[in-house]
Amino acid sequence: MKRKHDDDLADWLEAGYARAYRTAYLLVRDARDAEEAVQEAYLRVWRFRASLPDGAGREPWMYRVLVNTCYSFLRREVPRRAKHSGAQFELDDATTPEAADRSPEAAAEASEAADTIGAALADLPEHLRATVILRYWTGLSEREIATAISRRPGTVRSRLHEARRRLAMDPRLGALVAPVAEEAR
Amino acid sequence: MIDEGTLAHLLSEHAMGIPVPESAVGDLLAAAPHADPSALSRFTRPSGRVLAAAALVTLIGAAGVWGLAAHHRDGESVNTRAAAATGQSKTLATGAGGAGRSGLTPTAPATHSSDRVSAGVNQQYSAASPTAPGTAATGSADAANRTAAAPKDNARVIRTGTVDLRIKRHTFGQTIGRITTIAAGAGGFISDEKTYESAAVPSGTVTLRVPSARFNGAVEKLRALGTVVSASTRGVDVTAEYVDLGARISAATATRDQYLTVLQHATNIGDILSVQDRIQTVQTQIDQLQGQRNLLDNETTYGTITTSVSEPTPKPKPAVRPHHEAGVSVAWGKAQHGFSQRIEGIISHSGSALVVIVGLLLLALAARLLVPRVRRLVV
Repeated sequence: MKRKHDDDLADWLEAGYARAYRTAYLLVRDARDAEEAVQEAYLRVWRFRASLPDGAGREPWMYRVLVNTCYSFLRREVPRRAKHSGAQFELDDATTPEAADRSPEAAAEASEAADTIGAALADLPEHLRATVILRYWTGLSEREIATAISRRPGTVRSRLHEARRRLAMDPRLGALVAPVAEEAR
Repeated sequence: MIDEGTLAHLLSEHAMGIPVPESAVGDLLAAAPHADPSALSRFTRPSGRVLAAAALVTLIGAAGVWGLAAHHRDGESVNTRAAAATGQSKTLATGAGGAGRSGLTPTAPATHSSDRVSAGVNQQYSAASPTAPGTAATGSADAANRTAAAPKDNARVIRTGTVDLRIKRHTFGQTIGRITTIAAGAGGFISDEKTYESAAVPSGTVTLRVPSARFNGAVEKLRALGTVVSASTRGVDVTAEYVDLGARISAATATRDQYLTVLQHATNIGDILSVQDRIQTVQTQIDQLQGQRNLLDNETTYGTITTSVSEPTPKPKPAVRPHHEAGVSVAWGKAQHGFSQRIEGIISHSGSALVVIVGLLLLALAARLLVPRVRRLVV
């Protein structure tokens, strides 16, 4: 029984690795830090797996550990990252499977758009950025985010509202938002 | 307000473009240390017991900080008396920041480093200043005597100085080499060097870092390299700040150790996460304080001397005076000039002259033909 529980958890962590890594990357904006943060978070989850809630409660619990770990990295690693500030270069130099299928023009446009949204996100304060990422990338509900960041759902709603307001005022996003909104209609 | 769907779409596009490194989750979990699962019941918020323990730790830490600060204040007042006895805290010359910082205040709050009062030693000489010593040599000796009140025992003093030198012409490169030798000989190094040798007047600034114990000797050797235009040295006693940093590091370390003790007795994940967060916060404080102390260590271990070197500006060349020639040569010159002018005039007026000449020839010819006939008619 216990062995099966461990195997299930290992599979679940393995399956969610890419999403967890990208969440961490969006938070810390550094490939190496993101990888270390996910590894550290996974180790904590594994170490205390006996207290892991079953079912839907498992995910916000794991993301709470991950977000806390990322915050620790942000506090601890600021001087080093300021010295490097090469996260974007690492992203540009890497080749993703999705990018390989695109035409050069489409890839360039997508890269530019990614840079823009990445830069706009980076300008948000940490607490707003984490909330936006967990909601609109990771896909957690407001209640799950509240669990993940140890705040009330009302606070989460307030933060999301504030983050969307700030992003709407960002002039860099204006050219990106209009086509996407039209496409959605 | 940006639309939620749009934001989710953009963010998803962006996130999917992030390359994911190869996962090694299996190996990672296999190598993970195993906790006792039975000790961890469920995921809850921190219990009241752990919160109470954390509050107790905080109180103990605060009391420790207060106690160390009080102890530090006592030590500081002792230092003040000792400094007053040796004259170390006395300001020796008027300096920009020295006059108001000439003594230690025993009642200064130890927890606010920005308000901390430091003892300062300033010396400033200038060749152009009426308050300067009469010659560079006497100023040099004076400086050596005054700075002989070097920090003793565990005193931490940041030593800085500037020396502005005027050297002989064509000795710039040699002087820079000597400065490097002085730095190396004192066990120091050159931390910065800016030279402009290609300019009309070679000049440069060299910053030396030399061990504080050899600071005065290095300044004297530098002064001997040329004529001292101006020189100043300054010492700022940061012993109080250094000791205070040490006390704060000790207190924070004690607090962190207490938290670690609490962490060992935590029984659920919520408690553990909460205590770990506090440990990380305290650890960050410790790292910052340690960094500040390391900086002070560096600044007090090595003094900084900024040496400006320049060659004298060359005297401007005298303007070319007009050459007075003798009368014959002037006449010859004028003759040449007149001759060429006439030739030019002839050439330029040759057209009209030619017409006049042709006219005269025609008149002469006509006269020669008509005059005999007229004579014959008349005779």
